Amino acid sequence: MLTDQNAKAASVAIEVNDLHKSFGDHAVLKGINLTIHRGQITTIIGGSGSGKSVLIKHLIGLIRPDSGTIVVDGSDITEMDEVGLVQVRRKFGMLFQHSALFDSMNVEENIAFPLIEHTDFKRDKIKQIVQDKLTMLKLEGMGNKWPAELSGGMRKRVALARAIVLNPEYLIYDEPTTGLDPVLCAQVDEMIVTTQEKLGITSIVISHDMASTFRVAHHIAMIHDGRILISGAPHTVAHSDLPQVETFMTTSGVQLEAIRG
Amino acid sequence: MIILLLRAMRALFSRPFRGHLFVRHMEFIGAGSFFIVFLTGTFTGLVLALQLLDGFSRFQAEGLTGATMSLALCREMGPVLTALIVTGRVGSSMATELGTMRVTEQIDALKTMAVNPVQYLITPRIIACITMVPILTMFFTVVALVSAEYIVVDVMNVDRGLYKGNIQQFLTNRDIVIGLVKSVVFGATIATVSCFKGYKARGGARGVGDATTQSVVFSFIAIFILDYVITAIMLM
Repeated sequence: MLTDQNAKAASVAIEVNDLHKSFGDHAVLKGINLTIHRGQITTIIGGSGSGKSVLIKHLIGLIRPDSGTIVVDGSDITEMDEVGLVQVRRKFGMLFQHSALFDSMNVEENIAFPLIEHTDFKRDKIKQIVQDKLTMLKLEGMGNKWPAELSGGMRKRVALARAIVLNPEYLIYDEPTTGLDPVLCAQVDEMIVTTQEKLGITSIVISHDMASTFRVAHHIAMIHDGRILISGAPHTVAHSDLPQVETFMTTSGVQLEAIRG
Repeated sequence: MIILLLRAMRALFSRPFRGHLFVRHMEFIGAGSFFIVFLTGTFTGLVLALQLLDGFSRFQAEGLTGATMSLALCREMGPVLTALIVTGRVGSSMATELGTMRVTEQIDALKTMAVNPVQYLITPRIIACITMVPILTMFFTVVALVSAEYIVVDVMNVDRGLYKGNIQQFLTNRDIVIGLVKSVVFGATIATVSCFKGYKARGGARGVGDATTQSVVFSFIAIFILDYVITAIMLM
């Protein structure tokens, strides 16, 4: 029994308990409870303005909650000062919605940036690692380009290369498929899955793209009006008879019958 | 804004130290502003010489032009005009760059990469401004005095020895110190105001535009107010 419990505890990577956050009079998070399991892809879905991005920013300490706890690897990050948070953030890689590449640096410098900041690697070794990542993400020969010269899909891949270059334990994708055409969406989905399979990173994806969510997720949590409405494996969510869930899925054009099997 | 300045200064003394950033910003502020400071310095000197000569000639005191010029330039016009030029050229660019980085989530990206954005973005800019604005101010003053010498001596035929001797006789170290103190304070003000406005920018392209405008307006006002305050303190 005890080992069973240990195994269960070990598989929990991040635990969010009763998280509240308001901006002025506007309550965005109204008691979020969420568990993220190690080595899985967890997708957080919800409409625009439902508080997905705000929740994610809490996980890496960019926003401080009004109340509630966020336990990452056994320690509560809401209690930490900025120095402690820096240590926590090193475990995270984040892919921003608009990639957030540094436009004063070229592709190579962008990817090398975390290595230069956080390791003592020699120039040659950094160059080698950057080349490896470029190859892995099919970006050979793009090293000297500037972010402004790249297409949206390429920028995503460069941002992913930058996010994984320090081998983070957790990788957060902020609406990775928003604004991409269906072919690129499928490519990004594949990128998320292969990254998770190759590197075993615990991935957290926030999205409102249901089709993409059912392609990649091991675990789905739906956020609605500042609370987690439902959380579970994809088929559990697909079989849910909660009206909000059903409406959200059918209006997003997902073939519910096909998913339910 | 004061808090931001203090945080930036505290970050200066904590690791890691990124020398290349300081050099890059110093180059942008110093070398980049050299030509425009040279131009404005030259014409300020020329105009000032003409005006003072004309004024002093009304009571046959052309000989005092050198002394008056050097005092005005060292204490007032050098620091203030240089600060205004740097605000227009450098302060606006700082606010725009940081504002764009803010609205395109690049500052959040820095944070998630466990890099302190104040230390990485703001500290080097403030230090570069504090060191380069006084150097530019001295350059401005020297250029203006040399170009004034051309008008006074070569065009208006005042004796060169009289012009230079007059400057040496009246200009004291204290005047130079007043000018340098001002330029250091102005340098810190421009960088802090511009970085603060850019760093706090919100709401897309329009927000960045607002931040840039406000950074220039606030810096200008702050320069004139501080100029009075420092003058009052140092002359009383």
